[in-house]
Amino acid sequence: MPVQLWVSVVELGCFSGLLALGYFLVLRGADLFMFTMGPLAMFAALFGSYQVTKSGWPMPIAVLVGIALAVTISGLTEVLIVRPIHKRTGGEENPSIVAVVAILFLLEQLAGTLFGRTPLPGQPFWDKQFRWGEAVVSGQTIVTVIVTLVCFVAIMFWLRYSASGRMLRAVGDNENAARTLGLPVDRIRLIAFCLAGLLAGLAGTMFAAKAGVTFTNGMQWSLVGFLAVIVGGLGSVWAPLLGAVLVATLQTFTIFQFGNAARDYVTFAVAFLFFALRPKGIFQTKVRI
Amino acid sequence: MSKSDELVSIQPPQPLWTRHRWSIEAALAGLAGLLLLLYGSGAGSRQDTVVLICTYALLALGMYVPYIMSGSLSLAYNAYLGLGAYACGMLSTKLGWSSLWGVPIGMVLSAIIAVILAVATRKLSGFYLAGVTLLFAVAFQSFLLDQVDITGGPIGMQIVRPTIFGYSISRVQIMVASVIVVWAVGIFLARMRTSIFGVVVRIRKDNPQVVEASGISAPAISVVALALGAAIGSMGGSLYGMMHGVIQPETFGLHIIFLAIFMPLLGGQRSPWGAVIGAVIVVVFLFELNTLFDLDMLKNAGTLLFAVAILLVLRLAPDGLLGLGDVVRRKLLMRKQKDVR
Repeated sequence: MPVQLWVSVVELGCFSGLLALGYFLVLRGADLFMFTMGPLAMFAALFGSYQVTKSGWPMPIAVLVGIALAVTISGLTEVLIVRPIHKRTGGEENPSIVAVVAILFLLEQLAGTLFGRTPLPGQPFWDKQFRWGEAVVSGQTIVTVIVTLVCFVAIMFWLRYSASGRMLRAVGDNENAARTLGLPVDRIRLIAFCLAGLLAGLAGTMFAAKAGVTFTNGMQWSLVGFLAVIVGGLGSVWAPLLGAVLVATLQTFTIFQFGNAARDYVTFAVAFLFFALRPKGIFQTKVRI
Repeated sequence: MSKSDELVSIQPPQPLWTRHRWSIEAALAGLAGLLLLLYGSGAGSRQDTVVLICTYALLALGMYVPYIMSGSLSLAYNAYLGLGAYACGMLSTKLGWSSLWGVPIGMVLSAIIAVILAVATRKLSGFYLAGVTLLFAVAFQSFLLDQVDITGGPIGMQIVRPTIFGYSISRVQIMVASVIVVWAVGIFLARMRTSIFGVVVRIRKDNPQVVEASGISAPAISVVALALGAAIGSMGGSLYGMMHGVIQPETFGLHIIFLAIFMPLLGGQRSPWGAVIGAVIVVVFLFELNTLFDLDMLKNAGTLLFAVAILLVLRLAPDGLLGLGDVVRRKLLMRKQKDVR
């Protein structure tokens, strides 16, 4: 595989790693697969690009507002939709899945209606180019890698050393027990959703600078993050990143060898094999007694 | 008088609806079917509308079995619908068989795929089934577009008018057959719902431990429900394909998943007829109003409206229209009882 493709693997790995980290947080805190990660990333990126290219906003403001929107929408998803349904049904999973899938399609179509149905270019944070052997590495790629590592390290410390981080794990493991012990379950779940929105906003904005963005990206991006967290597992904060890099390598190699459609077949095949053989991913949670 | 005779004698007489429930239900559904056929006896485009209602009704009934009854959410219904249609197309254009053979073959293929996907995720939470079926739906869409030699690619493929014993079946006959199929499947599911098997399927949704304690495998029940639903959905695709004569990948896009979830939720979960009512509402509102008033915005924002509607139904009327009807009936009864006192 040409060296330049490994740069693409790093970019795609960081992007899907951030999305998978969002999935990881909501899974640990609310026991829910956050299928809206992709549309949230798309919405933030498309908002930023639209405001810069069509409305003439300064880039930093457009990007920040886009990311803030992703956080707000994610928080509202929990407060207005998921939480009431979760409480009414006593934690039944199907209504929550349907609600999350509905929001996925809602955000896609809303973005298409508000920002148009044609692709827009993303907004690079640092558009310098560096030559490294045969490969060309853009400043945007370096920013993406740094932001990804910072996010993972920050989340790791937050989960391990902060009170709210430890409570997140407690709430996700047994919500009823956490509520009985007096933990602020609703607040912890909201934090998980908002952090997931923040990660989605960052991921979408940074990846759009490389590949552009259109309203139909949401579904594809959701599935990439979903697969990364399935492959990586929930045993460690770094598991989603490892899963993301593996998936990115496989997808990039497949597209290079067999074309775009083969990527979808391989994505499905990998998910199927993991579900059948190792459903908890490579890194599994271990309970010490 | 023995004790059991006493018990029989003090039981209040059952109302007419309860005593002849099945006959009345079948007659009412048949009457609705006749009205639909009466509507379809007009211009040719109306026949397309009737078959579209039947296609969506089968899609909704297919979703009803695993999702509403068994609590297993599959998101691959665009693929099942597509398999039914493309099976008819391939058999009739590539092998020269009657496209009618595509109906059972599409059903069996869809059921097999549903079983494989369900078995892989049978011990996992519902999110995994939703995830793997969604990935399959995306891969199927890519397959339809990419494999030009097999599926015709973006242009799609033709379906030769079905024949039976050398006799070509007309559009009107396909329409009549579609209505009869929906009627029969509706009756079958309504009866199945209250049968022993149906009760087990429904208990599996709310309390799988009880099913397991009875010596029945809860995952196996879910797999059977998913296979049955996929086969019913595939039948809808076959009918659609045979009526239109041409099928294209965009007909079987991911928006179909929405319709499949939305229609049973909108119509009501307490009866399979709720799914059929949901299908009628979807077709009438989105397609007929669009034709009559040329509401381009409605057409473009169809999925947006469906998504908002699903969220509203989940939040405000989780039992759908039939459930709302029950609430109104109960309130009227309470008022009547108050007046008597």
